[in-house]
Amino acid sequence: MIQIQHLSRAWGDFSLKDICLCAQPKEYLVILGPTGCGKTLLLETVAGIHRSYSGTVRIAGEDMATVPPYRRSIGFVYQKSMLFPNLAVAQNIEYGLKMRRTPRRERRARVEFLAGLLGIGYLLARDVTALSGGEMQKVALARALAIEPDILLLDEPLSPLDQASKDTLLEEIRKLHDQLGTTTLHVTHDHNIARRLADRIALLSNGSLVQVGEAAEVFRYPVSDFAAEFVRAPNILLGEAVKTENEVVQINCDGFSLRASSRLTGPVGVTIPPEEVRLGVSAPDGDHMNVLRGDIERIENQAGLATVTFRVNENRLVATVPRAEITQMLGQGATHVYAEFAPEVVHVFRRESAE
Amino acid sequence: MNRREVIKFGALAIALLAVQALTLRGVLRPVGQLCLYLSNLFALFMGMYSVRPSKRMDLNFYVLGYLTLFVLFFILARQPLLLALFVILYAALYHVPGAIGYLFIFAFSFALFAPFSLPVFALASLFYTGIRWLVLRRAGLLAAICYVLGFLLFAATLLPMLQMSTMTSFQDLTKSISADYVQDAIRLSVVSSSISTAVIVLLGVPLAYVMVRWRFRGRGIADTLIDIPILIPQPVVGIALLTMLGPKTSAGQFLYNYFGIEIAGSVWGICAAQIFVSSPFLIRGAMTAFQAVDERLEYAAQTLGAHPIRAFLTITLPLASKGIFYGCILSWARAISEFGSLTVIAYKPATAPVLIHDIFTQYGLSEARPLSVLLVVVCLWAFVALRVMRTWSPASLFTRAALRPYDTNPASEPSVG
Repeated sequence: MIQIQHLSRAWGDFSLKDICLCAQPKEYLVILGPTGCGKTLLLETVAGIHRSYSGTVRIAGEDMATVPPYRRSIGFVYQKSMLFPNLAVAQNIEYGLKMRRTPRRERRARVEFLAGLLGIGYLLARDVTALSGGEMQKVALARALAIEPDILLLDEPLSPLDQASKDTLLEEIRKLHDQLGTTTLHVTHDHNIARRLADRIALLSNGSLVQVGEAAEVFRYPVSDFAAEFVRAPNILLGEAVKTENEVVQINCDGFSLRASSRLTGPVGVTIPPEEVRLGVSAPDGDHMNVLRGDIERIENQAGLATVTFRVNENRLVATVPRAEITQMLGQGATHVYAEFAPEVVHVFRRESAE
Repeated sequence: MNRREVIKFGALAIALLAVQALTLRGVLRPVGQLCLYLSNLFALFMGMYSVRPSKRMDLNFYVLGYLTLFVLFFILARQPLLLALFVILYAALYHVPGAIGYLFIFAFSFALFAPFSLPVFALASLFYTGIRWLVLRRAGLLAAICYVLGFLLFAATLLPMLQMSTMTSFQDLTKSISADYVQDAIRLSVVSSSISTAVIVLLGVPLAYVMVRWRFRGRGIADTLIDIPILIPQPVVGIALLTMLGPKTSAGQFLYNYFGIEIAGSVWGICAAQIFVSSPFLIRGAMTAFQAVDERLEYAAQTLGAHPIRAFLTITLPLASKGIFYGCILSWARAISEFGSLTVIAYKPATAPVLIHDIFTQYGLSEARPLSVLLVVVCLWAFVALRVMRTWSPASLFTRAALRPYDTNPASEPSVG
């Protein structure tokens, strides 16, 4: 649906560097990155607002180099909604249709359909300046969708909202996407939003892509320490990897070491999924590759499961274990635990900040 | 009132009669004496009845106010009958908050500032209104200082205008307006400045838009150039225009031969000079207005399928229209008041400011004044428009018109828990 190939663009001191990104039809692609990493610039370039760039942008197979924004089939929702203050809500929503010379009756039907879909029918006659933040974003969303765009571009639509309206609008967006199936590029700095909405995630840092992949994959297997920290991967440990036999490396962190299935050597980081860590009050019997002793810091109980935070030297680690198990351990008056995990579950990535 | 009070009042009334009979003999005719006595009696009655005797301070102030009026009208202005009138008003209004202040301002300005009494009364009441507002709101010292200083500047501009208007009688005005040359001059002024404003809008609004939206080389220089007409002394503008387009220059001859347009001594010349001097006001106004419209609104319109020109016409221009209109009025006012360059470029036909100057130098102040007042009246509509602008804007009009087809049933609104 969208193909971005080798896109580069300078904007003052800042630049987008060699972006290659594709979105399949009906896909929900979240572009995740910290503030000021070029997300908005990327979206505006796709929308055609910035036209001087190198590389190609294709929408539905057609090269967009000479197509002005008003000929592209695109819906754009800005962070600050950018509703037209001189028009009422209904006029805002039907603006795109009016520009396309859609007959009045069809326009009105489309406006009412979208208003019903988003639950904003009661707002149609209002002045846009009198709306709350959440309502504004819904109207902006309806306005962008009114023209039945091939692609929906969302530029942090949720970030100006409070948590409650954020959750509501997030559900609305998910519902809309299920119903209409519009290919969506959603830009955000919030990994929680990405986790809840994305089919795929593109991680952007400082103008270049760090990682692109299925949402679950990006969270489970970050490619660098930046990626790991930005998506809040659990249990990040940093160290030096040294090669041993059988495609297993030994990673020396400060004061302890662990083993992982990987071929990477040199400065690396690892992340260990909390649900793969097993805990015990005494050192486990048998031959285990990774056993760490830690002091219990905090225990949080959820339904059936407990999240145990423990400290190994200066590193804080978490493990998710069945609640019964931890109750039993605490019954024995434990203040420390032995954590055991297999080398296969340890995900090793290269440390870029060390280079 | 109980019996004792009635006796007390009666005694005081007789005493008052005695005092008046003794002091006013020969000063006033009997009818006048009776008027004064009745008003004094009313003041006495109000003093006893409505000013509570327990409030000693209040009673003292009441007496002080009476004495002030007495000194003003009886001793300084020597108008006993006016005193009678004011005493009645005073006694009646003593307990109406605010009103008593205006009464005293009225009394002071009429008794003491005889030839300027009307403007002084108008300004002083205005001042008093502001001070009262500040005191009632407990606005504090800073606000009071700013208000007083600001008011001084305000008074310096308003006082001469008011005085000029009050000095001119209605007969003077009608006589002045019936003269053909006066009508011609005012018509010429209004028509030429309106044409100039129209031309400036047509050319200046696009310029302002470009200046705000695009960052190009030489933008800083262009920005300075816009203000040049404000900096150049007025006669220099006339000289420069004549040097460029005068009857003896090739450009001037070209205009005359092919279009029949002459600059010197014609409406075209007047418009040229007015456009020159008043363009910065519109351009600056429009620039400020465009700056306030977020560029991303235009981007949004474009992604929705609007050609940039259409986005400009349907979104940017309506949103900026208020500021542009404001600039229009400033520009129009500047054009109609242009004088310096017109004395050089077109002394005849004379616009109103030129005619005023002409009459003043030939016949003097009293002849020039009615025409000046007329010109002020003509310019008043701009003042009214500026006032109206604060509440009304073309943009809001658009929105309201747009509401009608979608008026929804209020019952369909979801109830908010």
